[in-house]
Amino acid sequence: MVEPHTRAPLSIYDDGDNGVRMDMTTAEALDHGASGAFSSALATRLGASGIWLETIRDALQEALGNAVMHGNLELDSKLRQSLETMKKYGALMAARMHDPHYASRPITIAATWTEDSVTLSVRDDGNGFDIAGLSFGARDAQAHSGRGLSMIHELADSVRFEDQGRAIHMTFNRER
Amino acid sequence: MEFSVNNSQGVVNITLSGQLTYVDAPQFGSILSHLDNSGVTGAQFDVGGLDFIDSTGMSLFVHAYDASKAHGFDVTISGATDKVRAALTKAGFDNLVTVS
Repeated sequence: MVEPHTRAPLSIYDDGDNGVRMDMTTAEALDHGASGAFSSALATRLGASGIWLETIRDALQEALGNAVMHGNLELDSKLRQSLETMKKYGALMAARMHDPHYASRPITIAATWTEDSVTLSVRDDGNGFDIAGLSFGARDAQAHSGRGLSMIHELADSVRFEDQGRAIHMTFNRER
Repeated sequence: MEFSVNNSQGVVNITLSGQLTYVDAPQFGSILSHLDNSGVTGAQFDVGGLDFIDSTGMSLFVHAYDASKAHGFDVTISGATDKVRAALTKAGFDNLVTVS
């Protein structure tokens, strides 16, 4: 079981007049409510609230989860397809959460904005993946994995990847 | 996420609270092991104490659904807050299990 809040709260830095960022390690992303803290800080700077804020937080949570699990912890979603393999997945995740090789890898969340839109970025330090093989298909309620990317695609107005999938950039119109 | 499990004559009651997210994946096997049993006649998730759920958290219920099909019992998710209920419904879980 993850020990909650064993570190000091993560710091959020202003990055110029129209940007904000948060740097953390894999371990910190597993100990803190980073998506909630970051989206709240962003909302404060933009004077946003309500459904728009929930949209930002939900998309950020999914992107952060992918960065931690598939990126920095290098966990294969194929292990989530059955109960037996899910147990192996959980055990492997628990082991890597405490392995400095994986736990100390960096993750950065950043946001930049204009009058019209906000772009939210999440960058991990994993091995990347085949972007061409990505599918943003309709959600399958019985799917054991892959739901996060579909959610991001639904929530954001545009999505793009770079650096072989190590970075995702999600843009949201501000007139929601 | 915090959880507790109680088995009452084959009906497994699982109470979840806090946030159910990717952080909690290592606990899923422990939770689901209570359902992977031919003696189980029903599974009831009380999620009234959950205030946030993400896609990895939702996958817990997919595995519970799989166990229900394998062993022939029904799954009920009850007490969801508006936020959690909206997430479950949007993901189509109301078509897999009973969301009350």
